[in-house]
Amino acid sequence: MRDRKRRIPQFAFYDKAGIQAYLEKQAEKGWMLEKMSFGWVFRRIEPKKLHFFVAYYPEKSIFEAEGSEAQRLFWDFCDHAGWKLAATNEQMQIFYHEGEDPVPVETDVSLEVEKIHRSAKKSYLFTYFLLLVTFAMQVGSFVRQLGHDPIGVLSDAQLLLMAPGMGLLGIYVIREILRYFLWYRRAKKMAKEGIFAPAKGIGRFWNMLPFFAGGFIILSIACLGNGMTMRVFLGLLAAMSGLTVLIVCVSRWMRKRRVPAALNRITVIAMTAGGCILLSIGLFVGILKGEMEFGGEPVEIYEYHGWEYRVYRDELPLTLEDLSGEEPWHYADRCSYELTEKKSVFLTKTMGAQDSLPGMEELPWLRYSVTQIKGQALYDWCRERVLKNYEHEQEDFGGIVCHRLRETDKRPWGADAAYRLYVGDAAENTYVLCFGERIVEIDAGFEFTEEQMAVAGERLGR
Amino acid sequence: MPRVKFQTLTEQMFYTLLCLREECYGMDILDKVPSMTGGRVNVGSGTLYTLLEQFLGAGMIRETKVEGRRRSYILTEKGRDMLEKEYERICIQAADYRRIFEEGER
Repeated sequence: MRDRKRRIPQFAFYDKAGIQAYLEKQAEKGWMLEKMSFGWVFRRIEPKKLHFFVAYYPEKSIFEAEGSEAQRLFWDFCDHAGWKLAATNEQMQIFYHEGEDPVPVETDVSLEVEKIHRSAKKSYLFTYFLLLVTFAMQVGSFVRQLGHDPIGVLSDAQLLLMAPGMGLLGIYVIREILRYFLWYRRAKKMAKEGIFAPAKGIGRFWNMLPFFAGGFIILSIACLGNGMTMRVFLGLLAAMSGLTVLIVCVSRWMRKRRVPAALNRITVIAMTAGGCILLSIGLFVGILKGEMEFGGEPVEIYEYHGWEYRVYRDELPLTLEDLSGEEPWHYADRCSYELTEKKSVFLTKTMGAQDSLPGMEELPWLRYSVTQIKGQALYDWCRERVLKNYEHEQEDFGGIVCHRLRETDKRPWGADAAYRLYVGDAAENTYVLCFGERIVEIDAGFEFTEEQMAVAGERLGR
Repeated sequence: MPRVKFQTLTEQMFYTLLCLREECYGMDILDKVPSMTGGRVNVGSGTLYTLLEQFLGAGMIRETKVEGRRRSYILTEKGRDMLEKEYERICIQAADYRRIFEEGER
């Protein structure tokens, strides 16, 4: 028969009545709380009726060893009154009493509520506020990105799954913070009558919410596929986890050696900052060295003047050969043909690029993207944003040059609408074409003839 | 409106300070208060620990002896004044009670 068990009870930090009742029930079943870290550990005892008391010791710092002189004095006071220490978890101190009707550890409710509040500010609220800031930044960045580049966001399945995950966690955290402050207000009011305000339960649905959010986040990570993005993500995750474990171990070792809390705090801050800087440098150097190419698998690596270029041989819906009437793959010895696709439930964005390799006989470039959007309303919004994103002012030799799209003849393309980019008064070979619920953006290093427009429209628009 | 700290004393504060009229170990106050009040008032160990910290911080008591973790305390002049004020406040309350009920009976 096992003599230890581990449980992860879901109690709010300040739900002392709930925790006490739970522990008393466990003792009646023959389980005594022994430790509170990575879940609560219970050891087997003779089933008995015990009284538990959850006390809060706000002076405790996470950088300080368990059982400082002052904290031990507090335990001595409790011990003198018959309250034995069962387990501690930072500011939370749990005692038990074997007597019939013991005097509670706290007999002044106002003082007790203030101690809980000071403890909450140090741990519970601090963590939740930190999470809230992180979620707010994530949501802010998502909304800004969505407003600026809806196609980029709506074609990114990973981002689309990550957003609801983060949103649900954000809602959970906001609710928990609000719940705490509502309880605190009620508790202060009731303390004047000498009554300790009970905390309301988290609720079954809300208890499950972090798991739903976690599901979305796991799905979004799975969307990264098996490529370099996934490898970089896993590498960063491993590095961050390693760094966290290292920091926790060093801090715990310092706590055990009773190193002053201030020195422990400085060490943790320095290690965190140093670790983040090292990770950023590693990522930056990796990208500079070209070891982190995020595209698909190239068929070969082409070297020129010490630089490496990735060469692709993807089937493109439109090539320079199609436009010049040459045989397919006619330029294959001096070009890379790269096709990438991003897909979500809202739209599919396909990007094609045919670029000549450096050092070879130069060919004009051909790049385009085809976005197929589901739903007229979404299409209208994306089209408006795409057209707007081309329009901006740029400083050039002391003057301001306007980038503007002008409507152009749609017939040669066979499109519903066609726009051409003008920088100042100079026409560029950049077009935005609309076909049904499809937006095509095409950019080439040559002037399109009417025949080429017809071929491009045929290949990309239908 | 929140109570201004120590402007009035709770029963537990009052009896804790009263115990410290003579030098006394902090922990012993846990037993002294109920025996002083015939069991009517009890001070919890956590509450007493906090009160002693607050009284020390406010200069109402001072430490007299430290033996390991055992510490003894005694009331300061300021603490004595606070007790005196509280006593007067209670006396006024009692006098008001008597006056109002005696007038009512006449």
